[in-house]
Amino acid sequence: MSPKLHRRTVLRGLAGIALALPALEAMAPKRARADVPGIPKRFLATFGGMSLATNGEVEDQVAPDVIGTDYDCKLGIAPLATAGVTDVVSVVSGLVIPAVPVDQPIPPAGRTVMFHSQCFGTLFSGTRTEVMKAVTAPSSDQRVAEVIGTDNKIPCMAYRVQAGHYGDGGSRCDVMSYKNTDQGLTPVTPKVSPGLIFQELFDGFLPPDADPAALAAAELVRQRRLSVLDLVGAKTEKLMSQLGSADRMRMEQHLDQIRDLETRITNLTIGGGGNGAGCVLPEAPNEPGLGVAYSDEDLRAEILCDLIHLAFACDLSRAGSLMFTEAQSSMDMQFLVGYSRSLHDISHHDNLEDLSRCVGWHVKHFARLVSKLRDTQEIDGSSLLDHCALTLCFEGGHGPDPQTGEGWDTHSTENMAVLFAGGAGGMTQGRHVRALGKHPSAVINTAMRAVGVDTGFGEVTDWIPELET
Amino acid sequence: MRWMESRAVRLPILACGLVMFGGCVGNIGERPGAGGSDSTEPPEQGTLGSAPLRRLTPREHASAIFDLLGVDVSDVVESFPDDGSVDGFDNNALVQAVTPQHARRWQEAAEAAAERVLASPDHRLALIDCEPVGAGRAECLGSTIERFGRLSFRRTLAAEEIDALRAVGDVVIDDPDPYASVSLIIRAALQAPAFVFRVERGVPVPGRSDVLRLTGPELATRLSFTLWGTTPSPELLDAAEAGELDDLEGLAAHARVLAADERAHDVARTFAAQWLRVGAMGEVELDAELFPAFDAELRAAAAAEVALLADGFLWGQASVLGLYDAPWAYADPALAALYGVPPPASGGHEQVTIAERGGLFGTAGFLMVTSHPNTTSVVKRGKYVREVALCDPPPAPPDNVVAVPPEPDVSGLEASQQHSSDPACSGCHRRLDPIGLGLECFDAMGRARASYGDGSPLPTAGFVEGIQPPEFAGAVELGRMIADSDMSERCVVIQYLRFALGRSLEQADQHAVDDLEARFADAEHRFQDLVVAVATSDAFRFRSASP
Repeated sequence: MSPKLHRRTVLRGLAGIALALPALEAMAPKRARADVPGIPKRFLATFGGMSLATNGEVEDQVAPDVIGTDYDCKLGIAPLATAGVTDVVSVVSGLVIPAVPVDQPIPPAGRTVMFHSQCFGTLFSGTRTEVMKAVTAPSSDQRVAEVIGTDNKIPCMAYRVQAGHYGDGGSRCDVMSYKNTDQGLTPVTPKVSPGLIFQELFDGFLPPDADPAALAAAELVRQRRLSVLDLVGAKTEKLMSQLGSADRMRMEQHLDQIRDLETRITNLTIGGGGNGAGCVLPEAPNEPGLGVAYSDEDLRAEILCDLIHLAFACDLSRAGSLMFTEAQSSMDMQFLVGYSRSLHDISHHDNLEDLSRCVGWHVKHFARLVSKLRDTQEIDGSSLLDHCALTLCFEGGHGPDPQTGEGWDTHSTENMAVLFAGGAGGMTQGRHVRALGKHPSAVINTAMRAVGVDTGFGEVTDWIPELET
Repeated sequence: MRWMESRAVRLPILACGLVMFGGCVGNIGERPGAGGSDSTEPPEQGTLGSAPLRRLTPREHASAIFDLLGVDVSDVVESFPDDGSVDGFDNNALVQAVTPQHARRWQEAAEAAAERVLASPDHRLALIDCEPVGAGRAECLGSTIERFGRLSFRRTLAAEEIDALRAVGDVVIDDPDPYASVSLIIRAALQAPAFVFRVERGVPVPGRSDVLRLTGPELATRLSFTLWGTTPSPELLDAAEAGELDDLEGLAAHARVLAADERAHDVARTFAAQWLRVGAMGEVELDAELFPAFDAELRAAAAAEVALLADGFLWGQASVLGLYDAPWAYADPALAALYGVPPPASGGHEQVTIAERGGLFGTAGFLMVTSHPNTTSVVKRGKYVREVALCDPPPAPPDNVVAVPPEPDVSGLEASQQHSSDPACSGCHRRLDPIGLGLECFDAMGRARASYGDGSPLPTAGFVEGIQPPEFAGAVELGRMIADSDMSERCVVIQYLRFALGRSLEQADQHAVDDLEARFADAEHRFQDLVVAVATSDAFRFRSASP
């Protein structure tokens, strides 16, 4: 191997070709674009593992009565008003995931009536959900990352606030991010440890205002690390030919990780991504202890949102997903409602007020992140939020349960609502849109379009035009 | 794993005297040179299990770097991700994940090693005895790469590997520090797949597409990591490359030398601690209100007692099975209070004789780790005995079983009665609960007791299904019957083979287990002989050719 010809130089050359792909955008329908050129766009899909009303309740504590701007905030979304972000967060209500009996053909991006049988395919990968079948397409965060995130240290963040399963749920209810790899479609297990997430994002990073000598030293360290990794990540025929197929696969995984590390170091912009004062190197976060049903997720949510905020501000990542709570979440909500009961159980009891406060807990952290992004200036003086598209989806809505025939039930995907925040792509902000009968993933697709990714995802191609005008 | 339950017919074994080193560890356990099986003949078809690619464990990673360079990077290795364990062992190849964390931590360890070795003139001189400057630079680096690369990769480097490492060094050819190149070369070698993984290429066996024979250096690597937990020494590698491991006698001789060393004793302690779950004993939590005498000190003392007990039977002429029926315990002041004996004068653990205790099953460590936080568990005690000592694990409970934390006033006897009255439970629980019933004379903290807390009588006896005669009462009798059983003899072989091969056992391993069990018995259950028997077995010298 010639020392002059680094593999990553070749890879960078290839990356130039990949960057040309978003030109397909030109073929997309014309729509308003008021974004500042040169400032990257950011995408985040978030999730709460609960429905929006309890068994037997018709009343909706999420969807506002007022359509358009200056909408009213009921209990479920009251934190939007508290955080003062109703002018930048939109609520899209009246959304439906179509559900059919198990023996009938499933409509595009639809589900069978078995509510918890498959948690995320429909919402985040836009695929139809067959009972106990794996997700079959990459998720929206990964699709976005493929287009706008590949040059960043962390192409796609996949994080989760809920630190343990605590009971039900578990398999497939704890992963929302799926990406294509050499081994096929692969679930991306979200990171939960604030310490590991901090390290992944900020390891080796220095902010723009660091001492020039420190910056130069860090650059030297970086170059040498790359030289070493360039060698040890090389997949030599000699090495591979010594291995049987299973071992070869393991070795390939190993080399993938070496090359991922190489990519992270290559893409690390020492001294910040040319951004404004919002990029500062944070202190390493404290690691909240692990409990049997609650691990201080209220604090974990704050820490993770702070880290995502800085990842965007320092341009360490441009795409990601954040699961606040797992689908069918067994997290104990005592810290919020004052008595010990899991989020899933609260969804099935008849205390609408407590359930709405649980919805509001997710909304509170979403609103806090939105508020921080809004208050961060980009290099041209615009708000960081103007370059973001963020969504908050919930697992269900409320309405007839097609499995049991109950008239109003929490195991329903009617009357779903999704929050949308950010002005990327010139989105209209801060309005309530009633999109009766539309799929909740159409809101996520709108966010993808906002950051310039017009591929749709899975079987979802629809979007919410009211947010784009 | 049904096959493990039925004791296989022993193969006739011809003990042959391969006395290479007088006074060394016994020589009964080696493979016979007669009986139609000479040293070059491959194992019969279908008698070799799989041989998945093994990664160095964090412990091996740190030891290898220490032995290669003389510098300690265990502070960095401490932050390596935990691999988890299978069958209690933390070196199972199938759960050795490779994550972004691993790649990053290996980088840190390699960087720390390079920095530390070059910061110390002595260590640096041991690594590189020439000056990599001026006209002699290329030659000096070249010889360093060949020597250090060979030891790191545990084989002679290919020409292109030498060139690649040289190229990495040349990246910093302009650096004023003449050792900058050496630093990058060390870092590259210690992050290379050839260092991190134990790649075994093997050589073809004529006429057999299913089997490969390990090369000398590959055998040296297996020997050294299995017996010493570290990379092979330069001497062992030299011997391997000179062909000394290619025949059974040579391999056995080297194995015996390694097995007699204190480093093998250390690895044996690690094996025993994982086998007997000493780690979990050190993390037991008991209900503080019900057991005010329980604290972290007692827990640590209890775990240490089990390690100490086992240690006495891993070395020299002792039978390993003695750990089950040793007529003594080890107590420090904390344990002495629990056991009701006078505190030892030394303040540390001392051997004591107690009528109702002796052997593993009378230790507080065993009795606590197999209890609920608030009460004893006949199920957990039975399960431990089945899994750890008899290698006869129960199947997992059916999915519809809800594990309810027990009330402290539900006795083991009552819990067992519930299981035996429900036909869905009794099938498996009759193999578990009755073992625990015979140990109800010890509470959840391991204290001896004459009745339950409410005064009701304890069960008078337990029984172990599958061992004749099955009845016993108390820890001493249980230990004696386990030590005398064929199942426990076979189980030691199974447990050590899992540890030595870094994987769970498979159907194809039955042959190896049969063979080794016979040698283990002939060697009167001496652990060092078992180690040598495994190191000279087909399972060690050959590998199946994976597709």
